[in-house]
Amino acid sequence: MKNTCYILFILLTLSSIKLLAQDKNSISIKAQATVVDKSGIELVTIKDIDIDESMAHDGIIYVSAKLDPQAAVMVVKGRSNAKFRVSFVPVVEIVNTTGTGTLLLQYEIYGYPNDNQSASEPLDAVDLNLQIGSDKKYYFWVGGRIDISKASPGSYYGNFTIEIEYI
Amino acid sequence: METLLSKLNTSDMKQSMRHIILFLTLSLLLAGNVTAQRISFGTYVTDDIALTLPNLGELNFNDGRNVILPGQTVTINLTDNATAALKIEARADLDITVTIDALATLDLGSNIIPLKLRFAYSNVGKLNEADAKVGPVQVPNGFTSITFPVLRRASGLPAPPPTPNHVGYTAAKATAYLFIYGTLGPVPINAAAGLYTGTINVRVEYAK
Repeated sequence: MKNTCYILFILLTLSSIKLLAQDKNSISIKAQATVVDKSGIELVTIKDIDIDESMAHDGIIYVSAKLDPQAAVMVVKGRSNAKFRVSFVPVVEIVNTTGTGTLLLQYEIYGYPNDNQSASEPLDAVDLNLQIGSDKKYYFWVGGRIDISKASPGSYYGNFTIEIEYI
Repeated sequence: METLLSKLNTSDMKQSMRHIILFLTLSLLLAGNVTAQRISFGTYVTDDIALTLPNLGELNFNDGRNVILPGQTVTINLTDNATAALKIEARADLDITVTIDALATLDLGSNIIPLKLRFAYSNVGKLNEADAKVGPVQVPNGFTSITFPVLRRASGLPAPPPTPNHVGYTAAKATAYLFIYGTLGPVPINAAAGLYTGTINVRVEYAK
């Protein structure tokens, strides 16, 4: 009888140990996703493009987006490595704010995921898919070409708009 | 003589009663332990199953789509790098049952996103995750438990019964892989921005 009780006790004890040991055979995997708001991307103008007639050659002012320090600089701030769509109008009318007349400014846009203007690539299409860099930024350099040979004297001003959105 | 016989009978009866009481007590104890014994003392213990997560141990849908916006649906396919993998090392001659327990949503407070998980396993003795991803068996939609041999057996006659554990015997082991992937979404249009999480519990035991 005593033996039976001992065996029973051992069985019960082993049973408890085994049930605990079986937890080793379970494992948890975390599933996750970060949802961002569509407004979680922004475009900041770092520097405007500033042109004066002294830069003109044969009535044409040209600012290279890739090479000239006068090029405007804009930066996209968003989620690292995120893809986004950019669209812009490549030709903009600028208005004489001190007189009459308008001029057409043909923009030249280059972009790069780092602050490295000389390494930037041309953005030729008006609807492009790009990718933010690992430091959560993407840079645009904006230059352009303008014919001032027939322009009226005055100060011309206009806005260049780039639209961006996450893909 | 008769008196003596009578005394003997009384003693026998008392002893019988004692046995009956002990038997009943033991029976009750045993009855209460039947289920536990069935779990604990199956033919093969489960201690020698080793589970490891080769990658980060997560199924991150942002690895499938970096930016997840309201209205979007994100799918991680079996062959994608973002697929979660589980390495299972166990006795090669036995079958295992894998049970997956996961909610059908990822949650952020009261915000939820529908989650449909899929599973696949590789039991052909591949030694690493990349190789195992080539031609695994995809578990049909809706299944949360699957039993399969740790090491796929060749077709033909059934294999002999597994060798029971005994002193001095070390069973051959094999590695199987379980892959978890699936579809998240569509993310509700009014979903709050932030980190949505959920837990996938995977249990592996020898098939009984």
